[in-house]
Amino acid sequence: MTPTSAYIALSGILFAIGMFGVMTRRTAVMVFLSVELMLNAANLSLVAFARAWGDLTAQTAVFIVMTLAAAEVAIGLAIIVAIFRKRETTNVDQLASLKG
Amino acid sequence: MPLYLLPLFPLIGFVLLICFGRAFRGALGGVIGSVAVAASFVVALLLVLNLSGPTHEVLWTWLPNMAQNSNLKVGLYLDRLSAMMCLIITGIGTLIHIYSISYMRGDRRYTRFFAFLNFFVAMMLILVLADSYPLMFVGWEGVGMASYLLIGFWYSGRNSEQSAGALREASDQEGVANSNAARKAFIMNRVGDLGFMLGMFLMYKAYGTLVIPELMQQGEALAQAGRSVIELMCLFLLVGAIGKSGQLPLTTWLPDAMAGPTPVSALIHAATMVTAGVYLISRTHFLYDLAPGASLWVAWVGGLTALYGAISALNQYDIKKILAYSTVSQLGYMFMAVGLHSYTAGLFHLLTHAFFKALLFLAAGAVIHALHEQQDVREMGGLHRRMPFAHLVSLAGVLAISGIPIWSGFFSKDSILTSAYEQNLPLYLIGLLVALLTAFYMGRWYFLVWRGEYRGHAHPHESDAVINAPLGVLAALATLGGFLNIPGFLGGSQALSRWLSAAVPFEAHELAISTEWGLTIAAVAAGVLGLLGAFLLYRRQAITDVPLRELSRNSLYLDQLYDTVFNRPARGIAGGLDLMDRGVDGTVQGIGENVGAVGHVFTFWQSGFVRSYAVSMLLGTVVLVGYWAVKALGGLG
Repeated sequence: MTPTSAYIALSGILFAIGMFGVMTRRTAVMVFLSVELMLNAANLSLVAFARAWGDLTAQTAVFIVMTLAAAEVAIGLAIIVAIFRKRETTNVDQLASLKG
Repeated sequence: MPLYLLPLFPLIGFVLLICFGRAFRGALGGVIGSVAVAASFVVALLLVLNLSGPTHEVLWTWLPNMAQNSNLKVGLYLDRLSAMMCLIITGIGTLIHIYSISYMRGDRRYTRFFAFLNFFVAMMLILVLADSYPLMFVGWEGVGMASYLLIGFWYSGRNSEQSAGALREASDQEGVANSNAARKAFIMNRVGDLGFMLGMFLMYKAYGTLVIPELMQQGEALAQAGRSVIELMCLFLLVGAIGKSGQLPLTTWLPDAMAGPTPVSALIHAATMVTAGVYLISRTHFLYDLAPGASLWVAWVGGLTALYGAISALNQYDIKKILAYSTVSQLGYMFMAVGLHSYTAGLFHLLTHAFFKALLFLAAGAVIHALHEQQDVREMGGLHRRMPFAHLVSLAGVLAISGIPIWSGFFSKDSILTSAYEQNLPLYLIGLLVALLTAFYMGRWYFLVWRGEYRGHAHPHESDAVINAPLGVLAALATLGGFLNIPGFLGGSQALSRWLSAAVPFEAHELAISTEWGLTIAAVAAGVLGLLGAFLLYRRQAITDVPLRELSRNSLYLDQLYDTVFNRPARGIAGGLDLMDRGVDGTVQGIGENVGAVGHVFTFWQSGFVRSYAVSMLLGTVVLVGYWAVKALGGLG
């Protein structure tokens, strides 16, 4: 049986990739994708811990996260489409007009 | 036939015209409005012909009184007094509606005008038919509202949509003046309304009821409230009547009310609403009969107002203002009569005045129309050749108001002067002087407008039949109306007074026949002398000012007096408050701006770049996780 630490390591790698993506990509869609990756990294570690402890609570949390992620994608993509129609770009650096 | 039909028809007309105004194109709105009032006239006629005794009709209850378990009811009450008023309102109202169909043609808010007129008629009918003072007050306020709406009817001027700059600017100024006139009428009437309300409260406190038939039934038992209480009630009601009828000292709104369209001046500010004060006092005669002091006040207010109006009318240049001051003066006559407890004489004058003053206003309207909105009598003259019909009916009106025999004003004015002679000699002399002045200024009006040479630049023409027909009917009424009430010494039986005596007390004169003849000859002489004086002065040269020029043109400086006594201090207080307000406002604004400045300092953090936010989030997470990790591992040491 694969030790829990391996799952955690994979989760860490996935999270780091996601983090890197959020910080480096300029397209809103790609930023979004990276965020999803980070969420799934967190999900993976939650499931791994749940199995290690023999407790289903954390797995329940995973379903909540997945539901939220689905909702977030639905809304986020709609916003991105709307922004693109208006501004002809999804480059997040050019969408800084609401700054203080 | 139920009484509620009377106000119902105009009310339906009002609702139709105000809600579905756009559906009625062209003159249709005017026709609907006229038909609604004409229907009421038919109902009023049928009701009066079948009137055997006072009819009291209760519709529903309102204003619950828990303490005494006696709810006030909405009821209508028709006796001969309110029946006469209903006939005047609906009859003259119908004529003026018909006249307006043509007069208001081409106005942008044509249908709206008729909606307001119908609303007015409905409210006026509620006022006179009300069986209790609170319901009368509803009508009282309703007609005030209608008057306000119609005085300010041209609130943006008549040419506000013209493209020519100068014309539009003049129109804008006119609009402001019209709106101010409407406000003035509204506010001065509120002062009077306070009196009406205080009178009602006191009456309720004293008698526990405000239903007029119930109060009337108590008769002499009303006196148990005590003389001073009754006097006070009557004085309060007098204040209300003064406000509505434009008597001294609340008189200055009535001349300004001429800013409204001419049919409004004729219907509201000459024939009906302004007589509500006289009606209120006649309706409340059972209290005034017990209050000789307050009645004397009524008579003197009337006498002085009659003199004031007559003096003010002497030197006016506006064709309608002369008539407006004349209305003030004639209302003074009516107050004088009811103050002297000669209710039938006052109501008779109310009736004939409604005929001849509506006639004069509508004739003036025809002139204004023919001269393209010219209202200055100095720009008129010689119109009898161009508008023979309007001239003829105006002549009837002038003769009627001047008290020339066979015309209606002669009979009614004579009966007021006779009762004044009988009871109060100073008031009689004032009345006689006013009769002389009335004939004089009406003569001036007549000669300046109709005789001599035309001095203006328009091309006057006779009006169409829709305008002329009501003029003709009113001229006939103004000429023949007096025969309703021929006094005894002329072989008549005072038919109208006797008919009215079922509702208000009837006073038979106890003068010798020779004295009555003397009084009549004096009154006629005053009228003839006045007209003759005007003829001699204005026959040769058109514009001569008469004595008391400035005093009269400024209507005895009453407006200026009010400005000094009330307006200037009020403006001062307002200015002070404004300054304070600006101070408070500035302080609050300053605090807000300082807080804002502090907040502004932090805005540089908000770059708006999503990825830099992500970095700061990451850094924050690293710090937090690092802290927990260190703590979990038991410190760095």
